[in-house]
Amino acid sequence: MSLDIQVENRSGATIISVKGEVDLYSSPGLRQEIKRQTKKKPAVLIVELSQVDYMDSSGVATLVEGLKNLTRKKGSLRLAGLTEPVQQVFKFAHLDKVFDIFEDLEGALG
Amino acid sequence: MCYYPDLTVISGRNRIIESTPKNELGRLQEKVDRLSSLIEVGAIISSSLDLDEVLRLVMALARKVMAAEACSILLLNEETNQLEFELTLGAETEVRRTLKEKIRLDLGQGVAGWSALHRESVLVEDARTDDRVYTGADEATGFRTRSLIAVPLINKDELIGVAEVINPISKDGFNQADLELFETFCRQVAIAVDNARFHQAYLAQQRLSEQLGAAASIQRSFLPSPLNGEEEDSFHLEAVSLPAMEVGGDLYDYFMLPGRRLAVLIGDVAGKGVGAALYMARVVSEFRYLARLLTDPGAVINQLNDSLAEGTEFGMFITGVYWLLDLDRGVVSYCNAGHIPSLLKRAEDGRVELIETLAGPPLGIFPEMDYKTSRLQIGPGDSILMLTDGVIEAWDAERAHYGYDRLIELVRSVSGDQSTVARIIEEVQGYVGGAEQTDDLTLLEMTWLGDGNGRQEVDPDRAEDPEGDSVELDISLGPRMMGVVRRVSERMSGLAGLSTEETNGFRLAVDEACTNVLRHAYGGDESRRLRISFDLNDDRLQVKLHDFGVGFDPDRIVPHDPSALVPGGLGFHLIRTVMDEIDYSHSATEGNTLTLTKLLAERGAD
Repeated sequence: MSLDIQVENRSGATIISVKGEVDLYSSPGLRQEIKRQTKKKPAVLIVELSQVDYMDSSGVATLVEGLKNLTRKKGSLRLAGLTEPVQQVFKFAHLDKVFDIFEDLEGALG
Repeated sequence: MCYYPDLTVISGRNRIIESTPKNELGRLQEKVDRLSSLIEVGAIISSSLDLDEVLRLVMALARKVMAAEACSILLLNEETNQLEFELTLGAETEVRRTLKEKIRLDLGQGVAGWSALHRESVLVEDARTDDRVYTGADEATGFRTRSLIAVPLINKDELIGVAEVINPISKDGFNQADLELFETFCRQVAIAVDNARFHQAYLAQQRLSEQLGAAASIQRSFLPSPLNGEEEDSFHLEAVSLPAMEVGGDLYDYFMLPGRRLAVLIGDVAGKGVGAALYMARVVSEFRYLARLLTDPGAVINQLNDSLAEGTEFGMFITGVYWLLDLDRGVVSYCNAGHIPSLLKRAEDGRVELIETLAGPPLGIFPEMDYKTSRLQIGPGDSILMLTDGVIEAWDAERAHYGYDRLIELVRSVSGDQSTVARIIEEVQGYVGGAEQTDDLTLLEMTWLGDGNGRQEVDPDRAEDPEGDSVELDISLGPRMMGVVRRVSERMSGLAGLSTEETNGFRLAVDEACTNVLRHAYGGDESRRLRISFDLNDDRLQVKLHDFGVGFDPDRIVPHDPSALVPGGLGFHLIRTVMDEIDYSHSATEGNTLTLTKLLAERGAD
């Protein structure tokens, strides 16, 4: 059950689009991709999650790590298109105020 | 080397030289003395069976009767085919030691060697004139031989050795009459030596037999005692073990473990006898300990292997299979370490098949092997037949591979009311016929009779609420199974009437709990099993995760602190956010149980 991960550059931002369930088994793939893109020091890195209907704590931890690393490189990590279950995880984790969360990709780019 | 030109003084055709004729009375007295000596020899023979003692008494008597300065007895060493000085009387201590330790005579060498080779007595009246005399002994000891008689000791046509008398005290040389007397004497000595030797061998045999008897009784004490209890309704066990010798190399063991699980071990130690029996005792005691400590058969076998491989019993190893039968569900978990395949007989259609196993190497050779647990679902009435190679090889005299075919055919033909084990023993013994059993033979049949009524009694939750809905998963925590766990969580949550938001939370909590077990209790090993049960009652949705602990290292089986399970505690925080009650229990024998409860209070009232 691996994730489907696509990367594109648009309007000066790097967009990682994720499709599938992010759990203990699939989160390492996402982590790797975020690391790879972070190295390129993008000004804006958007993780697009509209096709992720499940994320567990390992997915949350992966995004927290990405946020820390990119912030250190003066970049901005944004999350876009969170489904209800994913929003909930962030809320349970009290991380919904820590991340820049946008309703959709357009919002995150804008 | 000395050379004596004048020789040939052999018994039967030598001159009789009586240097000082005795008077008639003196001669008569001598005869009486000699006759009584012979009677004494007979008495010695029947009085003692100790070889050393017999030789010492007999030779002391010989020296006295023959009025000799010294006498020796040389015994034939059958391995080297040489004569060795077993006992010498009359010489000085130093001489005796030199003879015993340094002098070996080949057959034909010296007078004694000549006598042994030709099985004839030799009378050397004058050593200076007889070139058969081996001068090496005199040279080595400083003893001077003047005259001697050598008589072969022969009993039942077997050459035992040679007896010698050396240097008559009161005259220059021995004569023909002396020779005849010594020959008569020596016939008795031969019998005495033979008797004592036989007795010695018998004693050694008896000692060995006593040791074997002790080992056999130790071994028997390790056989499991019959099980009794309510579990008896759920299974049937039948075992037979026939050692080829008093102490066998096969073993079996069985006992109940908590949670209505039946543990069975069958094994075959390489080697027989006392060493193998002691090794077996060690295997059984360590197994009993580990099986209670660790749940997974693979973990038990891995640990047992490491422990045995560290041991000092050089060259010892054992093949075996550990079977664990869940009496509630008919799930058999097993781990095979180099043992021959077992058979499965299905009750439904009488089908008999070999049970395929991922067999690892035998136990006790290399440490840190990775033995795997296999699993098998059986139905009520199905039985597993375990065996040792004595069964197969009995049929396999030409070492052809038809042993299993015959066995499978036989097991298939056994009808329900017959004992499979008894039928096989009967068949094997009939096949082998009168031939001596050469290998240990062990058979053990384990039949699952179904879960009976036990389940209701052992699961109080179910007994309390027979109306509740429940789902039980027994899975390896791989990626796909995690997906299944989430789907089941969603459905159960839906059945409980929880909202979408609550369902998302419930699913997340169950997932996090599973992830914790995998990462912290199982060290990331995805092959390990986890039992998850969902129970839905009127007022609660409860999920229980039953894991079997760290497993590979008993020292690390400690209750894990749930709050420390995830770095940063995020997973546990999520669980706590979602669930109303969290309960955690730890058991060294049964593993860890995490119970998560979501209360459904309002719905129960509606």
